Amino acid sequence: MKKRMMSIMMTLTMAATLTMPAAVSAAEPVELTMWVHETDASEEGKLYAALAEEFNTQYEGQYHVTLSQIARSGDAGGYDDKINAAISNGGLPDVFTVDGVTVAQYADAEAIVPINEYFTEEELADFNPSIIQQGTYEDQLYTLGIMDSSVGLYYNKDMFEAAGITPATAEDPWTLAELQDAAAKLTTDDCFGINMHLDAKDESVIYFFLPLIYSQGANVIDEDGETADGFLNGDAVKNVFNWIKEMADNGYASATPAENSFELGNAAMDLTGSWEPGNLAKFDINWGLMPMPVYDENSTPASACGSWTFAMSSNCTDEKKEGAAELLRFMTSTDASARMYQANAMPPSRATAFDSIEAFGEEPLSVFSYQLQNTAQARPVSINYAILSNQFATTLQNILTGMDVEEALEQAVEQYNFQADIY
Amino acid sequence: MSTAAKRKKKMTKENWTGLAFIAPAVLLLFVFLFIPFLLTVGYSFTNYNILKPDKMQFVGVANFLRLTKDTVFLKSIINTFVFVILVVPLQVCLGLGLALLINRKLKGISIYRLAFFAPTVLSLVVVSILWTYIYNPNNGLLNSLLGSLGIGPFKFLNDPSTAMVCIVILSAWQGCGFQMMIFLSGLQDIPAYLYEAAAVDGARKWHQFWHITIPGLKNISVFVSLNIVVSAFQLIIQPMMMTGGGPQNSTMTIVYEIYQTGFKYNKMGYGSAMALIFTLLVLILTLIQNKITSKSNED
Repeated sequence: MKKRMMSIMMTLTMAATLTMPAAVSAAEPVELTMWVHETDASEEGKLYAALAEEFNTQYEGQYHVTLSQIARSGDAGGYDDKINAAISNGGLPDVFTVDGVTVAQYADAEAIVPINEYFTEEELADFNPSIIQQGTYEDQLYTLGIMDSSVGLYYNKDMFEAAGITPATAEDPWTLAELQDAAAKLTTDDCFGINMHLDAKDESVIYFFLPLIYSQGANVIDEDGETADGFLNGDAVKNVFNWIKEMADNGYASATPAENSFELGNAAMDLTGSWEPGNLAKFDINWGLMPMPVYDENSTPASACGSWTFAMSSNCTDEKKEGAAELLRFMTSTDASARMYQANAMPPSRATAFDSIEAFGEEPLSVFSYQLQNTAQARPVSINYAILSNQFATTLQNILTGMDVEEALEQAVEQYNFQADIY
Repeated sequence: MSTAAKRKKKMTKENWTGLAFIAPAVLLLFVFLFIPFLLTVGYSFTNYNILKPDKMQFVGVANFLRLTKDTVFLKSIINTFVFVILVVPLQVCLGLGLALLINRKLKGISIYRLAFFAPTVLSLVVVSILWTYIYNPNNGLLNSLLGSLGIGPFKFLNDPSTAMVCIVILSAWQGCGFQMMIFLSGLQDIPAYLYEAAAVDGARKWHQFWHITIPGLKNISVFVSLNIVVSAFQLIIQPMMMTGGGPQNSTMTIVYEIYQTGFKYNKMGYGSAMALIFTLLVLILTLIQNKITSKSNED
């Protein structure tokens, strides 16, 4: 009797030990980690948390992601510090968000890995072309975005009507000469023709004005980002800065605009980003939206774009890569992208998401949807982008405070080449 | 023999207690000051890029040779010295002036004390942004004010020749409240009978100030000015928030340039070399200042 019990027990134990691992591997999902740059203090951060949860439900038993939300503080604090520290100590998560303009430096440092093989061409074709462009470094795709951004020319409808000016349409943007004419007509003693945010000293300068250089078929640095000579001091860049200076010198645009000058009726137009409608809603103003202007009648339209994207880290092991790719796909899906517009008003990163949002099919936002799917061009994907951006902003301030355009650009080239020269 | 041994034993026990007391401070100093400093010295001889720690290599004095050709860095050293030379006397005088003003028994004097001290409590970032509005050439407060007096308009931060002066003024305004408090406590330490005796001897207010107040505040002045010098060298927030180091690099400072190179361009090796030069500069100046003040203390 006792022996029998023993043997039964043993058989049971054996059976258990044999079946257990199999059962475990079926129920135990692949564990993934993900870091994002927004906490749940913002709607954007809440959406990331919700998406992560939905991912875990949808792939229950297969994949499981643990999300860490890290606040950004200033332009190099918090989140970026944490990423940099993780690169040093090998603690990068499997998936993390990177700002579009930093893709090159993370790819070059091998902190993020190419993701081409996990996505079909058909899938990628749905994304805004510039999303692919901003995520591509040395012919490899590294990141995909949940959202995008754009810049347009906002105008005060009442002032336009009073001055008898017809606004441009999405497909047919103004030239700088046309913009200048309109600004001249609209400028009065207490109203500037346009607010071009010329007091900016940061990233927004290159973000706003680079399309005017692109529209002339030119660039600001060479393909490898090694030199700016012949580019940043080229005619196309000179043309644009000369025009900006002319606008400021004539008093059509303020070199030091007051806060909310367009919103308060102290400027008739506003060259600014796709985040502006949210701000305008707080003011009593009848506004419309025109596309980013082009340099002259021979130019091809170009417009600004770019935002935060998702990347797979070099720390993600081979067995996790399928899951990480699935997570990237989930975080940048049509549904996620459309919901991001609801959360923080950023334009979607893909065509199907644009189609699903009614506001983008009609004026004024149709301008952004047209630009992002047709004319947007990413900022240079270069490891030296931060230097370029800084020199661009410095140049603007230098010419507005009296330095000759040519001299300012020569200095910018010299500084760019000097700073880009080392490691 | 036995007493000597006893004393020795007692001494060690006291020593241990003493060591235990300073241990936390020493440990923190090591972790947050000495080790980072030594790392900085080490990094300054390498091509360390924050994003590529594996590829760090020894490059000898290449970073330092490069510094001699870096026009912006050299400009930033000059700018920083200009700032220190302008802001230290201004802030000391403002602090002392305010302390003298409020060092009297009047009704509601504590309101003034609070008002003068308030800017010190505000975040420097907030103060910088507020002053950017004040300095705005088109519709700023200062130009409207000066305009009504028939002066100006000035470009303030948008003119390379005045931008640094604008930052000096705002910095002195922001910081002087703290020095005022220190001077105030110094003033109240000067015995009242000295003034009474001087008054009896027929000394006027001005003489009293010059011969009693100033000598009485000597030690405090040394402390205050040293304090301002050290923090003035670290100028970064005001130019970062207000001018971005411009226009035409007129407000680029050493610490701002270090931050930009190390954290925005990720070139930590080169940034460390800048930091090392900066540390040496401050060290030399502090030693000189020490020598001057200890000499004048012997007089």
